[in-house]
Amino acid sequence: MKNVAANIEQVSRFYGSGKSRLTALDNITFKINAGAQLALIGPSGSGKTTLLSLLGALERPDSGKITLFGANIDKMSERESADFRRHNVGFIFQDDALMPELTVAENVALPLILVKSAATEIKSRVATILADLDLQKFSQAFPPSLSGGEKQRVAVARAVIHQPKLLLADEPTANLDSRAAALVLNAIDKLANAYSLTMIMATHDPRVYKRLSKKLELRDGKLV
Amino acid sequence: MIFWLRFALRSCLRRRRRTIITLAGIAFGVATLVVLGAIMVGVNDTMINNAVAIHTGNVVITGGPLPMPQALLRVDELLLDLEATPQLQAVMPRLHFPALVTSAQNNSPIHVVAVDPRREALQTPVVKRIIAGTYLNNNEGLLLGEVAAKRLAVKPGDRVLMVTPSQRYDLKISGIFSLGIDTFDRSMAFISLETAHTMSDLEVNHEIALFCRAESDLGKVAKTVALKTRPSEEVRLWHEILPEVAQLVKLNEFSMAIMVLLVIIILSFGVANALLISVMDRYRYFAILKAIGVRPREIFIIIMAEAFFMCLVAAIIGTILGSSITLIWADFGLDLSRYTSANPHFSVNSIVYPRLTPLMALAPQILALGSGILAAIWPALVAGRRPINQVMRGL
Ligand SMILES: Nc1ncnc2c1ncn2[C@@H]1O[C@H](COP(=O)(O)OP(=O)(O)OP(=O)(O)O)[C@@H](O)[C@H]1O
Ligand SMILES: [Mg+2]
Repeated sequence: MKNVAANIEQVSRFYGSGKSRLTALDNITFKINAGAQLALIGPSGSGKTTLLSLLGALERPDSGKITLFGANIDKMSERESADFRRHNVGFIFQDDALMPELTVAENVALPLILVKSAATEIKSRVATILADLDLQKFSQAFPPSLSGGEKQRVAVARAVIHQPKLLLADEPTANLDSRAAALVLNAIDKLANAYSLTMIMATHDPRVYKRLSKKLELRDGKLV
Repeated sequence: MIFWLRFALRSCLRRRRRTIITLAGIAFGVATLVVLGAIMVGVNDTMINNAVAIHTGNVVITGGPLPMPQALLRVDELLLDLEATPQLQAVMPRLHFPALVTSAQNNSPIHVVAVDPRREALQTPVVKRIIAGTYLNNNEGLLLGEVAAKRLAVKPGDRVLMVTPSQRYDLKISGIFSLGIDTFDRSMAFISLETAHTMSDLEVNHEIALFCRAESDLGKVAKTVALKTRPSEEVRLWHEILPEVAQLVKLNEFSMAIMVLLVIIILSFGVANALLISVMDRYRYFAILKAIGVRPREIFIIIMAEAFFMCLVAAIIGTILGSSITLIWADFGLDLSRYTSANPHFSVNSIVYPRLTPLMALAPQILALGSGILAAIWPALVAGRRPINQVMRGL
């Protein structure tokens, strides 16, 4: 039997209350195997971002249970879930989400600093990953001086440098032209494979989901 | 922890404009308090010095009444005992007795003080306030206040009779002084101790006025003095003799404390406001940090550290600025005569010299630092506690 990375059991998520209550996720149940690379597709408003937020322990389900690598993430305190995220989850957001006052190298180093890696190791791993993504020339630059595609590749490096078990990406190419998007996707591919990460990427873009073997489709908060 | 401190420092440095504005506000407040505090200390100094110079000395020994020859002996004895005390910058013997001074036109009850003119010249304001004639330099002279001189219609060189219970003495007016304090100018007169020597029938009260080098030596001086005096003599400190001046000093300090408190409260609100805005500006930023695993407590530390750095730098700059202004100002002094000319406590010298005391130089910065850090707690908690469930939606 393959290792199960994530087990989602009868998970629902509602927004608002009373008449304006909105069901973002409606009683969803599925499993993700370790090492799987999934595309999460579905029309706008179908609940993709909501699902990723739940899987990343950024928010809690209103009902149901989520187990990630054996840990029940919906029972965790703020601090526990922060610690869980710093060790196990990498995020790539739609916008680049880099820290403007840190250099590119420092931004990429951040997750390693959080897991208390040794300074020399941090240095060499940052250098390696930046070289892998052809970003070494920006290492001392500050994010605001980079193009959108470059920033997003830095964000990819930051999301995976600590080799999280789970990589969550929410429309990472939505703001990019196709050339930059291709570079970012290549970067994700390369690193996800190199580190054999479990990955879920939400997207509208056929060019993106065609690259991935498996698809998970949401419609009105339900899996189809 | 150290990483978060560095992170906070970096974020202060990168957000230069916000940092500088907040910093300038705090620094200005601290500098203002340092300068105001120094002025207050200076005002108190001036007030005490004035009052003490006119009335008493910092410490005063009184005794009597004794017959004049004995009083003179006793005064010499005390001088001999006390003159070498290192904390004293001046020791002045004075003999007091009442008399009626009569001229051809009028008469006037006068409180006569026999003094050592050379010693008095060092310290007392009367010497500087001679409006006619000279200070006591001839042995038989009488130095009379302006109001009394007018009432008696006399001028320097005229002769008057000084009538005492036992004797009457014929004296020449050597000069007229005006201190600007009515009771003094109306009812005080001075003669020299030389002159007093000739008045052996009189009974007088003796007094030794002691001037300290520093107000802080007061206690030590009082102790030394206590050992040298007789049980029949009384030793009093200036604030016992002049409780109204002591109260004014306290009142001044109290209003200054209120002032400090107000400024510090305003500063705290400024700091809280600046930080709250900067925290709200950076919700997304903190949310991303939390998403990648930074703990709420670490976010709290970052913001507290930012506040600490800003307040620390601002407090140091403010103190340096305030102290520099004070030190420069202390050279010129601050002429308050426009506000004090009718005030007896400033009648001798109305130039105030701002003075830094350790308390007034350090209290504003320590308070600013402390209150700035306190003011940061709320914004830091807000940032630390804010949920991050919208972070993937760009909020
Ligand atoms: N904080 C919120 N309050 C109310 N409704 C919300 C909130 N967040 C999301 N929703 C709603 O939940 C539903 C699912 O939202 P979600 O962001 O998961 O969709 P999505 O599939 O990511 O859409 P898109 O492709 O446009 O990003 C939407 O109808 C959305 O309006
Ligand atoms: Mg979405």
